[in-house]
Amino acid sequence: MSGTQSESILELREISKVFGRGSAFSGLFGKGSSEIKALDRVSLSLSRGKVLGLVGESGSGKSTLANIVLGLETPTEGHLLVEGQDLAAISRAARRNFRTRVQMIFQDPHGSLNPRFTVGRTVGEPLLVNGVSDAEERQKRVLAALEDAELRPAEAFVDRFPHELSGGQRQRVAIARAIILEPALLVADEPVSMLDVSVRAGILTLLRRLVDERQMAMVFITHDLSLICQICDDVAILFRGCLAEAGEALSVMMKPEHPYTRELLAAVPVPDPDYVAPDRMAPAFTTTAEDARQGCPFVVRCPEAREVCRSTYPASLELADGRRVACHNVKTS
Amino acid sequence: MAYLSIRDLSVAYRSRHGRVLAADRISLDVEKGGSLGLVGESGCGKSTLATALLGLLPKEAEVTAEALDLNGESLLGISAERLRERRWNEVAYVPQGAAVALSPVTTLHRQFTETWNAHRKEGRDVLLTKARELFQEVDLDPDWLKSFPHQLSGGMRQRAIIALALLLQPELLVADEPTTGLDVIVQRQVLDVLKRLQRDHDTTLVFVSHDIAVVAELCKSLAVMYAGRIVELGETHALLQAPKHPYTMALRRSFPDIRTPERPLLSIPGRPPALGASATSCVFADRCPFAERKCRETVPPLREVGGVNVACHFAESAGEMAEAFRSEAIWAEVKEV
Repeated sequence: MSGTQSESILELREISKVFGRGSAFSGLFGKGSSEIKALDRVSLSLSRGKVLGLVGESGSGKSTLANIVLGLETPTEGHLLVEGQDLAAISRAARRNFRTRVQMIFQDPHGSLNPRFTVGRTVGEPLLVNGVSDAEERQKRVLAALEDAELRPAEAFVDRFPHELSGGQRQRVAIARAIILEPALLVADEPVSMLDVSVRAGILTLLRRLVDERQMAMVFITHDLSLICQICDDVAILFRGCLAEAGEALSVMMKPEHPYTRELLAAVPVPDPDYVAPDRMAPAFTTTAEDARQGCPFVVRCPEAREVCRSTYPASLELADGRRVACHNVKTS
Repeated sequence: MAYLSIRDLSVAYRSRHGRVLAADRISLDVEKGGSLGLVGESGCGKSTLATALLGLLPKEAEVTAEALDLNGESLLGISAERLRERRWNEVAYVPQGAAVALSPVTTLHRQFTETWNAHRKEGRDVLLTKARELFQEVDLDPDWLKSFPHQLSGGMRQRAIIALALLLQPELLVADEPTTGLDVIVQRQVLDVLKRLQRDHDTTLVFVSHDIAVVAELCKSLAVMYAGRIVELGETHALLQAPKHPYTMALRRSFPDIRTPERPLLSIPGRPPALGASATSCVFADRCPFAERKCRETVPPLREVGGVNVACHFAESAGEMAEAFRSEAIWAEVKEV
């Protein structure tokens, strides 16, 4: 696993995911053709030591994408490469190893920890499952993981139960469990949205430090755009399963090119009573479902849409700063 | 006279583990047509305070207050019958979990009808017109009235609940985290609706949230709560521009602002104190980098300093504290508990 700094940890090549095709329910409810395209030809890559923010409203496909990266869903089309290995091409045994390479951190630390397990058992469980049978070694590694998640002194935490911990401490336990197998990639789904404001920064700093020190990579899912620049190097904006804009986090935030990114930014509340939110602009057209299927998916809400947006799917353009935008109104030069 | 007036309100819960004082001697006023945001972290007592306004506290709660007046009439010791009259007609509630606040087995129209019938004797003929108007007001197609709640998206349900809360034209709307859990786009729609209501109907609003940004956009005044106490209370603008309490300063710094995406966020070491007996010291003293002996020995009263009400012994030197806050090192002395 040696390699250069830019070594790719995760690569999504034209990933699509369609739900409802030939499912048992389609016959049952008499709607044979109800297909939902949760992801539509999404391509992304993530190198070692980097954090990618995945942003979109509910129903944008963020969670489907996370499930595919975790190997919990298989893409309908396209390829998923983790550490250069195509997941569709590997054997069952290799797939087992893959599961140790990608780990998940959930949104709700109250729900993601077993209330009847001590902290030590929760954090040590992945080792047990993966054949580390020596109890002494397990204990040593559990303590090290807790220390690394800044639960210090670790000895004071191993025998405690989740209900004895604060929300922030619980999330640190979940993080210790996620890093104990030394994964290459973390997937964090809204890891601070359930936490108190005063401890959020601590969890973000911890995640960033772990990614840097251990040279992992992380997919950070959020709908809170104001957090993106706190932790992410890159950001990818999804709208209804399609990649609207992807690029370096700060430049996308400061100078959004896609109208959907602009809409998202304008919707974020600002802690200032004098702030006047920009008026929501009406869509340029009254569109049909057919338009959204044929043309740009954002045409249904886009205030800047033109006739071409209803008929043609916009190609993803690469701009001078390396960002990709799928919009007919954006030009390369 | 203030529309809503609270003096020395305390709420304690009896539980297996003893007594928990969730709100400790709270005093505040809200003018008619005004808006007050209650901000703070989990367990600070903001929801307890909001539910006390509706007389909805569980029976385990012990409420004591010198005054708890709504529109000049006390809510203390009020009969169940009178309380029922006042709810919906005078004060309505928008809860956080819109998904569970509506009945899943009846249409929205029926839920509007039932609410109306429970509180009004006559005027059933105008109900449908009224409901349709309210749906338009919250940007929902009135045809959705025929639907069941599960047919609506989360944001639509939340707006339907706001419409329902407005059915009997209450003077006061109490909203408890009504946008938490919604994505930014939907949150913006709900905020726009609430802003419009305040502007067009002169509805008084008490808005509970952990999200300073949301509260600051909506409310003219702000009460910052910590461990059951109000630590700072004042006009939103003044309070956020120049916070006088170290906790407000810290909270302000721990919250991201989309206009300055790169500004590092602050994590406040330690955790809030256990809510047992009434405070005998400053509740924030354990986590405050400026705490001195006086802070651990006497409770700072809420007093006016430079235009806002603040409960800090050292509020006069807020400027120096704010200056010191710029340095990260100041937090090193506060031990992680």
